[in-house]
Amino acid sequence: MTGDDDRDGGELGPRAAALAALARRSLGHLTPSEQVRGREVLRARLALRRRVVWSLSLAGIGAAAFAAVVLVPRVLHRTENAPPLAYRLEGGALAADGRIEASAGVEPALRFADGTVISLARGTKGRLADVDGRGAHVAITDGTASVNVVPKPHARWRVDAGPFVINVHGTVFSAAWNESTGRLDVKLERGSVSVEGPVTGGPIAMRAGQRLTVAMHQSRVLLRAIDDHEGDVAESDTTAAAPVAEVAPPPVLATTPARTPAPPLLAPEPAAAVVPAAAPIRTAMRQPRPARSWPSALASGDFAFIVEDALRDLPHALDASNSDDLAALADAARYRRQDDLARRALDAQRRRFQGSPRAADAAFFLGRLDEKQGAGLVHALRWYDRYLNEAPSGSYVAEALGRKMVAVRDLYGVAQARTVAEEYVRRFPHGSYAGAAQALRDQAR
Amino acid sequence: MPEANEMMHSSGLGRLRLVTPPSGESQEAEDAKLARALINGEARAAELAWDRYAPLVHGIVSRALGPDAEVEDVTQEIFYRLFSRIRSLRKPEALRSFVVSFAVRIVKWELRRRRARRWLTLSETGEVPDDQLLFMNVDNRYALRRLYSLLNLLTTRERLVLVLRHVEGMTLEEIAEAMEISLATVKRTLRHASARLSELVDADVQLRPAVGKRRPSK
Repeated sequence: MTGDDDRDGGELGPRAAALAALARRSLGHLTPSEQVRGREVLRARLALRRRVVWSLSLAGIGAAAFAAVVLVPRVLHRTENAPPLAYRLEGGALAADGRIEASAGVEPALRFADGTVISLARGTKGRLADVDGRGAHVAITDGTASVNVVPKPHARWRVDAGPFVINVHGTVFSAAWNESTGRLDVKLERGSVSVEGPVTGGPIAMRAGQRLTVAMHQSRVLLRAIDDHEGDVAESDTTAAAPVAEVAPPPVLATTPARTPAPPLLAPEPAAAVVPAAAPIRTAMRQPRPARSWPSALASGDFAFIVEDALRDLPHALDASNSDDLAALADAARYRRQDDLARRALDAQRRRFQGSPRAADAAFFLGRLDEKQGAGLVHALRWYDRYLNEAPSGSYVAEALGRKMVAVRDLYGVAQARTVAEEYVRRFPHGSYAGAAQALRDQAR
Repeated sequence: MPEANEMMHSSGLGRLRLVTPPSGESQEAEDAKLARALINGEARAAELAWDRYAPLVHGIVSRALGPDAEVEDVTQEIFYRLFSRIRSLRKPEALRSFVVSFAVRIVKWELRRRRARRWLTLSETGEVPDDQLLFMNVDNRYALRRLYSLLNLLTTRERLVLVLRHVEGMTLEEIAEAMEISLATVKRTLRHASARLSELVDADVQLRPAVGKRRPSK
């Protein structure tokens, strides 16, 4: 488009011109997959707009063509500038009040134009309460929902499970609510959510790899690793047991999202780390924690306390602290950008608790530190490989594989990275790096 | 593209193709057909417009806003609004200019909205998303971030004129038309913005390792 009017007096200096050239080369290139995805989204939005018009003027006509596409009455009352997300309900029909009525023997699924999918297990009673331009509000009155929210800025998704409210950011999780027993079970595979409701004592921030169980009738709250089934036994014990004396949940579990630390600048962290993922936190009845333990301080966002406490006698802290404390120290140091201290805590974790899940996690974080501190992508790549080997189903696998893909690309080129990209897309088609992986595959072709 | 052609025949758009006009038929003539199809609400016309102009619009949005996770959203918004305003297009053969002008206007609003909210190029979380920068080396990634931080110091008009000229590569006349300002204003704004950015870049100590004497490479 550049014409012959170069001598307009508005030339850039050589350094600024070099930056402008870099921006021109690096930004604004729409990949084929992005273009296809955009076309699909646009088509869905336009279809929705057409249906709004039809519903106003020709009520009932056209239902057969898009039987699965349903409008929420509130679409006409939207207050946001953005039009509501288009969606369709598969395997069921939507009643006038938003109830999801599943077809016989089918698990219904709500598919939104942004790629978000909310599936209901067979027999689950659910309701689509609202849809707007930023997300939707789904309520489960009994049963289980599997939720895969595509992360987007300004997105606002909410899932109610019985009396509990789950505020969702880009994430993958399942929520089960049993009306008769008053039990909530949330399993968070990726991303972050906060859960609030009776007996939680405020919002509980969860991070990837965690499972939250709330036994409302027993006033019990249990946050633990996702593969920890001890709480299931505990629940069955307590359902038959005498009334529980303790009502309030442990303060360590009640953390507000507002205290969530800001993630590092260069790359998204897999989750807002409020409570250590692999730290099995039991109910307050069985295992009360000291008021100012490091994990407790971490949960309440008091990172300075942890760091200052450790620095009083750092060698002792590194050599004598248990695995939970070392993890809390590493997290606190990372959030305070004290990377050297974080590295020492992570090194101690790996040295002293070799073979543990926390030691594996430490490998991932060491990779991130190497990448961030410019120690070299080669080192970072080694750590990511180590983590992927040591924790093939760990909480950070998606993130580690994504970072590995980028590192391989930078170190060895697109062709080498293509294999990693393909693995990423296969394993995490909706992951944070899925777009980048698809772009890389396109680039490699 | 046999599928595309079949699709167009069924939608009444005749000889139109998805991206490249057939030889012998001017861009303006193709644009005029497409514009009329859009105005008449013909099936698939919107998707055809997307296929033809999404790369252009995405480029303008991306380069004006900088590395940003919202680029796709803003691009979508431009097309969505464009289709609802297509009837205001007076010269169907000038569809391309209409699209560019529309895109620039929305980007301008977006920049002003961010300025008002002090978000600038930051996301709501306060983090600059780096999806678009994943494939760059660390130096270049950093340099781009700094560039867009410095662009935040310019006014919205200065930033847009500068980006459209030096990054997007548009002519001064095209910029004047897209931004609906006079050619003289474009020249004056560009002179000022270019001088200001050059000063800022030269004075930025942190940029020196990334953009030294050697030309940065991807």
